[in-house]
Amino acid sequence: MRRVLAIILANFAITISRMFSRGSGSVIGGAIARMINPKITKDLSRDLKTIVITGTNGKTTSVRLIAQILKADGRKVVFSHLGANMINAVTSVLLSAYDILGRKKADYAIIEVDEGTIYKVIGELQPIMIGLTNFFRDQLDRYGEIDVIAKKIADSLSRLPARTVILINANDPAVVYMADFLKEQTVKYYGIRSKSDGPEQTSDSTYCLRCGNRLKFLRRHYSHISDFICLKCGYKTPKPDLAIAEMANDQAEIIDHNSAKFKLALPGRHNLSNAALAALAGRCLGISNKNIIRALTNFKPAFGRGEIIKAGNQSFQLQLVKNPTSFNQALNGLNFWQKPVLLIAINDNYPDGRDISWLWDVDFEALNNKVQKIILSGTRGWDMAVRLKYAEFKPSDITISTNINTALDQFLAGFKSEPAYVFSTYTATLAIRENLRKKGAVAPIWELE
Amino acid sequence: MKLIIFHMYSQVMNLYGDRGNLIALKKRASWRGIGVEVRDVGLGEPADFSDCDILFVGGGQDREQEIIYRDLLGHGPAIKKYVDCGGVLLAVCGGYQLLGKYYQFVDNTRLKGVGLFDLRTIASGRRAIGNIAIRADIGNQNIDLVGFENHGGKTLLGDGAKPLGKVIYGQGNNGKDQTEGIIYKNAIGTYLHGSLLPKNPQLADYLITNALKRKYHDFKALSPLADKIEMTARQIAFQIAKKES
Repeated sequence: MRRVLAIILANFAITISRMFSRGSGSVIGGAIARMINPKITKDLSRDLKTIVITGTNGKTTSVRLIAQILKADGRKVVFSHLGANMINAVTSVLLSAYDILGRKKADYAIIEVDEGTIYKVIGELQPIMIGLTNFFRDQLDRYGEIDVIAKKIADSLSRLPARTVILINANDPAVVYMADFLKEQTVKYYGIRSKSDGPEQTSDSTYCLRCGNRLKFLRRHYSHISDFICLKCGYKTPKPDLAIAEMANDQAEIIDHNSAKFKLALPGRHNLSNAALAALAGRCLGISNKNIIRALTNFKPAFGRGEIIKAGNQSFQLQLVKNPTSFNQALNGLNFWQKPVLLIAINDNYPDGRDISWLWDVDFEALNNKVQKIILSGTRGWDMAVRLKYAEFKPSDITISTNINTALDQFLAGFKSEPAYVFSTYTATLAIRENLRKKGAVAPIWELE
Repeated sequence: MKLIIFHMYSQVMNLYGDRGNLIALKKRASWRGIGVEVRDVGLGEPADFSDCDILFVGGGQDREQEIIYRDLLGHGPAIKKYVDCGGVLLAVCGGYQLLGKYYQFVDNTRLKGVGLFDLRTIASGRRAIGNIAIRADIGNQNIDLVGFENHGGKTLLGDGAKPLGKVIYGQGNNGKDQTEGIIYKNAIGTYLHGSLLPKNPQLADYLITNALKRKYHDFKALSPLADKIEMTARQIAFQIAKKES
């Protein structure tokens, strides 16, 4: 009874919250439900087939890819939107599987969980499957060190039932390390194949976590995502149960017992990793190649994850950036058929990471002389200006407006049909989204499928 | 004129943006027509500091620091000699700690340091994390330095040791005595990230000037650069530190 009450009240709160447009109510519903019934998260998770995705980069995209794959197979799914990934937001996602009267309307819940808190939260979730994307140094002021986090998470996962499937990124040394602690669970590996080494950029996992020796990268896909081996103790990239290979002409190929070629709707090697995770999840759930490929080919990215936004006659790509690797990957994906126009909005609120030192690890030098103009914004827009000054950008190409609304207007007024990109940290992305929603350029989050 | 910067353990001790310090030194020198060469000194590699004009050691994750500290101890006598002869050195966070007398863990075991700086660091449960502003006394200037600190160790300076500055907003060395960092001859140690030098160009110029004076005896002063962008960013960072405190 208490459970149904909790569900009804929480869903009511979410509905009201949306009516007054205060975000999608994605945290308030969960908070209310947990106040009424602290066990609600556990109850709901047990009654649904819950899939949890955690790691540093790629969670939101991987969650959506898996959701699309399940939907392509006709299964009923709810999943995390907006990248909100702490316990209240997680509970809200579980709640959304129930209608306002407390009746179940979905069978699967695919949930993104923050890697800094998953070890605390996992006890309340009863997942059938967990996907680990990668570990990059992100928001050090919040989390601390990679091997400590990996071990902490692995310890908490090691207490899950033996039938729990755990999907491990074979190309990330820190994620592969976790498998050492997951002897009882069903571990499966996914990976990518590429034909050439990516540019040498910041690497967070250069040392073997078993013996401390320096790792050798046989193939560096991007950053430390690689085919690696430790020449001292033999620790190396395991053979993946499913790999996705990068092919010519934007094509990709799934490589396992059931290989197939397809065209992934997302750019970049980091998205090949996300797609491999999702495809392996689909395989484990018995979904056909046809449906997996259909989903990957027709995929539309989440807000701020590389999606193309149309505002009037203009269109631009919006990409969330959170750490050197995601920014470097985003910059690698730029199109230079004409000099692009950029808006870079850097906030330092708590969810963005308060220490903006990370901007110095991003390779802006590679952009020099290749852009038409850049507008800098956010609470740390001037720090970005310092960064670009030292990357030797021409000051005449740069405008600084810390107010994001002003900056967005200047950005939209500054181009017609040239390639245009917005790179923004988490809260800046939300602010941009809200601005665009008011202009009618994007649908409210909860209407997104 | 040319400067040679030795960057120790760049592959390992490269925590969050310390690279910005190298970038700032390189650019500010080259914008004045001074050539800069950066030499990476890695684990297990020998180093002859007689060529060195500026020595930089950054911070790292605890795990990485354990890997390098024995190697750093090996360079200890050479580093001390280099600094005693007026060599310019900048050590941030982990580098700063390891150049002290020792680092003491929670179980009271100690990691021996190089002993260049008269300080010791004691591991503490609560991390000092946040924006920080200090009033530094370097050369004959009083300048405010802004940055971001993130450290679990509490550093205590010896009786005669001179701090880099006094905390205006933030925790500093240990959250108690209002000191931040250390300055000893031409060597500076600090917990400030940010990165440190880009937003504190006067400090970058101070290091470059000292290095040039030591190498070229008739060198007088650096020509000034237009640092308006840095000054605006500093102001904002200062206000953020103030709001946080």
